[in-house]
Amino acid sequence: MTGSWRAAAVGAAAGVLLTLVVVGVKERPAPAEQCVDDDVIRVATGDDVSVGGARRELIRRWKGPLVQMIEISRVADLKHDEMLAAAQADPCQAYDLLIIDMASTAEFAAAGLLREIRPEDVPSGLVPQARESGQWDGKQYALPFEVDVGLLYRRADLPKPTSWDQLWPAARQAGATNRRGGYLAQLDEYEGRTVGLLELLRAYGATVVDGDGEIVLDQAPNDQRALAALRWMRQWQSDQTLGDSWKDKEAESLAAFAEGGAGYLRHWPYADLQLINDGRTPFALSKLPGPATLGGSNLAITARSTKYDNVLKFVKYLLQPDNQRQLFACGGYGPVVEAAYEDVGVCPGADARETGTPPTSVDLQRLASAIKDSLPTATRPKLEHYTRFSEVFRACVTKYVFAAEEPTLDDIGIIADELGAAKLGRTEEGEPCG
Amino acid sequence: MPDPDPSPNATPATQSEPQGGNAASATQSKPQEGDDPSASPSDPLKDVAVIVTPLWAFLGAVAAPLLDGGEVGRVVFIVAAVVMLVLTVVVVAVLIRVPEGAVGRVVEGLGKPLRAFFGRVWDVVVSVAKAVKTAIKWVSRPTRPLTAGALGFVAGVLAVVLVLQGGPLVRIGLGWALSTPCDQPLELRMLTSAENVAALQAAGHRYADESADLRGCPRVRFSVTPQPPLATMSQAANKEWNDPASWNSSTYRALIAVHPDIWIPSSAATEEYVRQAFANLGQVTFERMTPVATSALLVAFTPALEARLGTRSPPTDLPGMRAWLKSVETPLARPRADLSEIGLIASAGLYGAAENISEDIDDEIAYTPPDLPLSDAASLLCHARDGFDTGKESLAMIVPEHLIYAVNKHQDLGACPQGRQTAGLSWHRLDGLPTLSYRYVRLKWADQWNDARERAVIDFHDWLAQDKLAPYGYRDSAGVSDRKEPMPLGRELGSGQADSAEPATVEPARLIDRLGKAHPETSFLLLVDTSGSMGNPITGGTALQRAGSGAGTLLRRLRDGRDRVWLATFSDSGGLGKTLATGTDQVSAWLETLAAAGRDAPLGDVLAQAAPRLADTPNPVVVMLTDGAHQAGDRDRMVAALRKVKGLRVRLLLTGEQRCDADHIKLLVKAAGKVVKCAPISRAEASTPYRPPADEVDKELTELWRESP
Repeated sequence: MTGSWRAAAVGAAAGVLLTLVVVGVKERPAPAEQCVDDDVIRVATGDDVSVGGARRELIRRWKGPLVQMIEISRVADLKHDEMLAAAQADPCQAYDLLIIDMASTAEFAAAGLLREIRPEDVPSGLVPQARESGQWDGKQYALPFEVDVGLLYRRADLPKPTSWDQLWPAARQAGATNRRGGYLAQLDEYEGRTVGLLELLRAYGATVVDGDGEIVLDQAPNDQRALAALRWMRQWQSDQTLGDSWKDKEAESLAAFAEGGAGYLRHWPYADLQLINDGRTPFALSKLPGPATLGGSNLAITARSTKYDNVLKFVKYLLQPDNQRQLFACGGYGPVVEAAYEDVGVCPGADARETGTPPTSVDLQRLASAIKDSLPTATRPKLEHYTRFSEVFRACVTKYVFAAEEPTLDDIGIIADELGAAKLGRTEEGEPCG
Repeated sequence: MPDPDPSPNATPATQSEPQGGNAASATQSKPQEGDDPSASPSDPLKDVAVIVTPLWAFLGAVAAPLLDGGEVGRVVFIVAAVVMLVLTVVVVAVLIRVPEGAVGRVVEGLGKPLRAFFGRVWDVVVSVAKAVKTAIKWVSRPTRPLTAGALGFVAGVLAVVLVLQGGPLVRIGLGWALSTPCDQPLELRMLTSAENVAALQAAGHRYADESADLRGCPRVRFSVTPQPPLATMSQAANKEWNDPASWNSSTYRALIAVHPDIWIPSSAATEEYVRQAFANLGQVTFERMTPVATSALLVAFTPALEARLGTRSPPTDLPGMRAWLKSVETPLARPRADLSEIGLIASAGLYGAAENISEDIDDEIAYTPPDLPLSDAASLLCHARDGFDTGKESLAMIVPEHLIYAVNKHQDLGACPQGRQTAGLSWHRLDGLPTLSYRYVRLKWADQWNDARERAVIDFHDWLAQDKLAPYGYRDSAGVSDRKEPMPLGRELGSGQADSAEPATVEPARLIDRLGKAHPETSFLLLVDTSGSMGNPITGGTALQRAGSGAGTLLRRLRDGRDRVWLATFSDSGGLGKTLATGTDQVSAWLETLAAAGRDAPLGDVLAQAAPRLADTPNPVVVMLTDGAHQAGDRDRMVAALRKVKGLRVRLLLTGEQRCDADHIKLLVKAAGKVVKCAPISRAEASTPYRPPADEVDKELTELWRESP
């Protein structure tokens, strides 16, 4: 090597070294000593929707390291946004455990924001659908906390439908005498609309996303079924069978049904206990006449939490069959442990309530059966970019439900194309399906 | 097309015969024309690296600005990348010659059409290659080690940049080709006054779209939430952003809002007020950046009021304006100063320098008309817009110019969706009303940060500062509107300059204290119904949750050192329990522990037991939060007990589904006379759809204050 080449090599080495040092200094993470370092397990959650705060009571009885529940917001979107932003932090973590919506679990796991639960740490006896909701790419990233499925509540004087084809005429008829609607669902502009619309599409056999996470809406015979479902939705919208569903969330629709304002109500299991406690409207409960959308929440340890073992102990405490039974009996949280569906007992202290009839063990057993019967066919798309998918899905379907012209198969193709981009997390200019 | 290659160097490559031996070794063994015999034998790999690496490094270095430069930048990048790729192949083919075997056939097969396609470009490429080789030779002279070292240094720097920048670019390119999912975008949380939420949401979407990569993958995603009152933000600063009402619970806490990465306050003064509360906390830092927009405060008239004005112009001075509005029996409404940042800033222009408590009380009553949603200007305008159709709502409102624009352009106001095509607002100047200057503050939470977040927050500021809020009626940071269509103030000012009003010169702490004195010192006894029926569902949760949040709102409004508060609960026939807590901290801690159990207590009996506890306290008020129960109880005993406490007032706030016209409640209220008033605070009973649930409690607190002796 000549002197010039040696000089060039030395210069290049110096350039590489200096650049790496500069970049290293610029990119260095915040010193670890700035992170909060204590034994407190910080849990990010929404608010407790159960009657009498059953979840709070359970956490009060926990004897391990101090658990601090931080209620972010009762607005699901804000809860999601805060959890996601906090989990993206590096290296410190504001929260050790997230009580996260099942639908969001894949999103967090795929982004590397959750700690994998070691296989030996996964308790046995979990409800399969609930356990699988915490899996991504073959690994367990979250354990289930409570499982929700859509259930059908009806006024006691209305017939029990065994199919959607039976339900709609009955609901239309009920709508004539119930001021809030014949069939109430939660179709306000939020995640509830995605849930409700998925159920209505599946009522006609249309699958939007298959088990592999692929968009199959435009594949035969799905496309024809989806088109039929869309046309029926337009019908129920125009003849007011769906009533105020398009502006209702969970609380509004439940309150409307409780005061006798609706014939049929699609709602989550916890509504059963609230309606029993309320006692104003005699009602009956059954599974939906078709597949329900799977809901609920999971317990996910954040990837950078340094308290895996302690957090796991707390998680396992929440999953003890007796605690799951109590959450179910007192709060209406669908159990995620098989054993909790057996030996269902009443909530301790329930007889102290003065109005309505406290849920009896028969009531609770009936609810448990309805949940269990619904679970085998209950699904929810498991997608890396579920939030984007959900936004686009409900925007597109809503557009065609309210469009002046009848939708066609081409429109189903447009929806599928938009969903195909959305599931990859891509944005498109303008409004979805615009 | 004839072979345009005149290069003697290229000829052997394109004419090489794989069967005839090793082309590469032939290159090494046969000196080329023009080689310096004094230099070491040419190393083709080295030559290729020296030529190609800096070029790719340069492309890597300019990739980020090109990709950020919108469509044009992306196209330039793609073209440059393609050219670079072709150039690389060509340089390899020229300098290494074509190797044997399958690789050689591929290169040869690729090279021929490329050469044919580029035609004369090939000459240029060869010339460049020659020039570069000449440069290499020049560098290679043993007499120039310093120059060689310097060039090596530059190449080293560029190589690192290429490695660091090239990875993501290759990943984006592959992702584009293979349709792989995008990375999760960074979640950025923005906090601002309710008046800005809709515009910033729309701007955030635009930014996310514009800054998406080649695949359409957004780098960021925004959530925009309305900020809590300034006083609450200030109080939450040293409580880790938790609701002060939940701070004393070790197991349950509630955030006052999401942790913002970006806060856009409406003036430098209000930003400074909150910043001081965070000073020296360590867990969060404020980084103030330049303002991104401005908007002047104006007085908006509803069409009905404008019609009464006719062709006249209203006075522009405050006394004159108030006198004229009084003459037409129309209130001048301002968002409440204790709830709204804009309301506080507007007050700086409405209140004189000299404090006079009795005048201040009169002014506050005048600026706070009853039955209007006054938590923020957007809610107020939503309410007013609904009245346009009837043409009867005669109202003057102090609101920002951009919201007048939004109403008249039928834009989304945040609190209500896009409006109908109806008559719009008119607007008038009022001397002394300040211009809002929207600062941009980066908040860096120690346990919620990373470097990418910081870069994204800064990039968004730089983008937003380019007058990106103009489509929503804002002016740029200098107060100028460059929009071609008329703006409220721009129409009146020939130059288009809107910053004739001085930037807000507010002293928030002093003003909050001063306006606080305009509200009388009060002693509150909170009575919370904990009977089992409080666990019943209502809109938004249970009646007990509603009672808890209502009580929390009341606690947040209390002023340290001026108001007092106690808590007691009631259920069962035993009626009222003992006083559980005294003071804001204790009461808030107890509220977290309440659970519904037991039976209804007759409301009159509970009030009879409660009244004596407020004897001899200043301005005594009982606030009873209940779902209404079922019995009035012993009314005579209640009336006697209430009369014994001088100045006592009772607010019966219904948190369940019962209404104030239920028989037992009507009987109770009638027996007590004016002392007891009933109001529903559950969402379903809200008096206006634009009033947030907390505002129902605020409305009652306003009424209590207006009625104070």
